[in-house]
Amino acid sequence: MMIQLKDVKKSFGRANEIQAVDNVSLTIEEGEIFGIIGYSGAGKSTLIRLLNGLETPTTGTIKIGSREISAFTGKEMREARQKISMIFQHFNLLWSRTVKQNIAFPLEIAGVKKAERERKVAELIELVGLSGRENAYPSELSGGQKQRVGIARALANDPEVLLCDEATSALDPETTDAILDLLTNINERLGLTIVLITHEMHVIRKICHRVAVMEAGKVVEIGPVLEVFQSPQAPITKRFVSQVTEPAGTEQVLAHIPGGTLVKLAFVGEKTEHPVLASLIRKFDIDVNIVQGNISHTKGGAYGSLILQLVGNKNDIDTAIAYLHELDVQTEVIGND
Amino acid sequence: MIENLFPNVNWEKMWEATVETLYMTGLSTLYTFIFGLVLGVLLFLSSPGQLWKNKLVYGVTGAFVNIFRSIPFIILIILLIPFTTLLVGTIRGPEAAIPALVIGAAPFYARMVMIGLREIDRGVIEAARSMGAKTSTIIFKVLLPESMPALISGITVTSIALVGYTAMAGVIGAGGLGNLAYYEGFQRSRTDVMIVATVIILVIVFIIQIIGDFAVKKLDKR
Repeated sequence: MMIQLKDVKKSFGRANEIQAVDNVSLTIEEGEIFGIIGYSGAGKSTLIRLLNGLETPTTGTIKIGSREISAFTGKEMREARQKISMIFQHFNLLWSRTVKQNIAFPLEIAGVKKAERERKVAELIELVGLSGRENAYPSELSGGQKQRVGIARALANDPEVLLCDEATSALDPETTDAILDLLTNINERLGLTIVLITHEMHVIRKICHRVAVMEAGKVVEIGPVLEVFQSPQAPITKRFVSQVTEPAGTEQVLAHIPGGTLVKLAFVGEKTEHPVLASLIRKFDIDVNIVQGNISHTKGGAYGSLILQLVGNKNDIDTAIAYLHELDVQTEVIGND
Repeated sequence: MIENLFPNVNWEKMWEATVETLYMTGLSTLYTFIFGLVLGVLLFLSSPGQLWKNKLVYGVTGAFVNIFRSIPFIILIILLIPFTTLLVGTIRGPEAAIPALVIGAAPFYARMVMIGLREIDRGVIEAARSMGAKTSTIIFKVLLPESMPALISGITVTSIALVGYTAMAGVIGAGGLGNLAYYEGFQRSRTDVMIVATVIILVIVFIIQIIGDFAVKKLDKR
């Protein structure tokens, strides 16, 4: 257990009338990449800031490792923060410092000697792939490079936990993937626990082991990413999952399919490799038309969804659907003529 | 040649007055920079939503700044006569002008410091806090370096205003080019003395502006 939140509440406003974080309890394991997803205003920014004491909980306790962060103040808190670092959506680099000096900043704060600082900075520049750019100023870097500086800076004091505050939201898709790969790499090589918040399911799918879905200050769903993808419970989770499993325009496509029965199949793990479709056609006297198909890869395995149009007589279709249920493929009838 | 053009100008006196003006401007700029910076940082940190948010400190500092910024300089000098006598022991000469110049200019500069500090991205301050930085570290390693171009262009403007203030202080006996232009030039109807003194003041102002602009350009890496 690396991080433990117990009945954490954070209220704002004159009479504490705004509940930003509402009774959240959760545990994050050591070495885990834990994602928190929610729309803006769901309380995820406040939640992540509770983890490094930038916000203090109104009630409840927060433990990071053996430290009870929520009870810390002053010097104790500042020292704890050196082991819980953070990267930001807008990078938050000092424009007046070069790449090297930006990465050295947390080391200066921790009182590390100059020679040691220089050694550490060189090592980090190598790690995040910024060799040759050490004397550039942030204004001379691209967004992706700036975030690499942010990551190097965050790793300077060998933290136990890395908090990512929408770290890829200001980046283009390609750069996002490169930064996510870097985070995965760091997680695997250094065994660092990573907590990230995002509003993009893509980020969760690509690197997280477990995910918590937040809405109106509450955690409405939590579990391994693949499980959540496979059978999302809360309506908001379903919306997030469809962000990555259903290509844009699915609804329009479905509206234009005439006749037949529309079924949506969900495959998980190795079932994605079974020739379900072929046996369906062979065994039943129905026509099968593929409307849309998609396979997404998560950290825990692959997840596929397929939308089929079944045409034929009603009995055959019903037995075909029963057969699919038997195969343990999640089947949902989403439209009937 | 020059003697014919400016028959009444005593170059030795003119040089002496120039040195006095430079002395008053330089020293008062230095003190204004220090006091203005302290006041401005205090004003910024105590303002709502900042690290030391404190209504009382913010209110008192803000009132002090606003009052002294609003009093016309020529009246401020007169009001400060007892204070100046206490501090310098006289109300005549370049030294005696310094307290009034600094008290007149520091609040003005403090406001500019505050504006400069406000322009720093809040995220950068948050990042420093997230690394475990103390407030003093945040002041000296984040706030001041990150707002340096604004602080420098602010002190340039203030320093130029101070050249003008020294001329005013000169009229009531502080010496310098203003004193020379008024007593030797205006009151004795020696236009040439006024012109030369004015031109020298202009040159001083231009030089300050050029140095300021150059420093800002060098420092700004945004």
